[in-house]
Amino acid sequence: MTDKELLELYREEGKQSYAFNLIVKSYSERLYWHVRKMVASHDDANDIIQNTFIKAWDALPEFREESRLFTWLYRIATNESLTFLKRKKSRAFLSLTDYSKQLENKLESDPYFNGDATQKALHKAILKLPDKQRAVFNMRYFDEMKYEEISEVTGTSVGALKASYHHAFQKIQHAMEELF
Amino acid sequence: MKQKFNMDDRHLRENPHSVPEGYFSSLQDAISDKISAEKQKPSFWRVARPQLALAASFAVIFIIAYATINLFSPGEKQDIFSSIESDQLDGLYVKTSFVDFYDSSTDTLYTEDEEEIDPEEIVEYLSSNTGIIYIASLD
Repeated sequence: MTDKELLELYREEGKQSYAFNLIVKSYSERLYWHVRKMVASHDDANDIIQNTFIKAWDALPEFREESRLFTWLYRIATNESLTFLKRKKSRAFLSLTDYSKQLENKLESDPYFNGDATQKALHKAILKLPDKQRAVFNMRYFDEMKYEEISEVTGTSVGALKASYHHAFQKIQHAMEELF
Repeated sequence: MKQKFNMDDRHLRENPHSVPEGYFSSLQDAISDKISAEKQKPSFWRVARPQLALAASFAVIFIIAYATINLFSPGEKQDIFSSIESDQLDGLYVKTSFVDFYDSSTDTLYTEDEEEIDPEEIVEYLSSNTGIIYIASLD
């Protein structure tokens, strides 16, 4: 079912819940992986993804299709992840270890990480990136989104996104070259 | 020379994470349950709106009643005006409309000489005008 069909179904009388469940079914998995790469832990990703869909449910009556449903949901999930990380960082301000180190530790002890040593090193290096740059890098590198789509999600110009991705790519490559 | 790390290796882009078994179907149920609970829970605006509407209608009625009373009772309005300002206004009128143009040195109407009337003149005046006084007393 396309986004347009889902939204038409949502706007039919008495079909809101059914249509929204279909939207959740269509996008929850993809959005979950996006959030999971941002926050490293399954439990945190689970909380964030639930909040994302509850916010989407509240805001969907005002959704005017100025962007695609998919990018709109991605934007909510990204913002929720960034807000979560900001809150965690402010709480970790007095902690002995900075929050990116805590994220690395979460990845290290994550029972649901099945990658090899190279993949673990890559994901640890990605967790050291600034949050917004990490979101851009993940959307481009793993989700293979077009810059125009990332621009819709982040509200940043394509030129700025290309520069951000290039810097992030260089940093990761440099970090990986030091290890391997 | 050290070889450049190949970031374009497809293996690196594979998803190394996993989730507990059956997680995504339980996630959909959890979201569905939360939304159902949210639909049943009345929002602050939904609770407050009828009460705010009632308060607003009372306020409108009060304003209309107050405006009506004020519009159709000119006497009261005049009283209010006079009670607040009359003394001050009287003073202001004298100051601006008369005193500014009044030259007391040339005024011969109210001189001190006239205030000191001789009592004999009064008696003489009254005795010569007894007829007028009598007629006035009859009224």
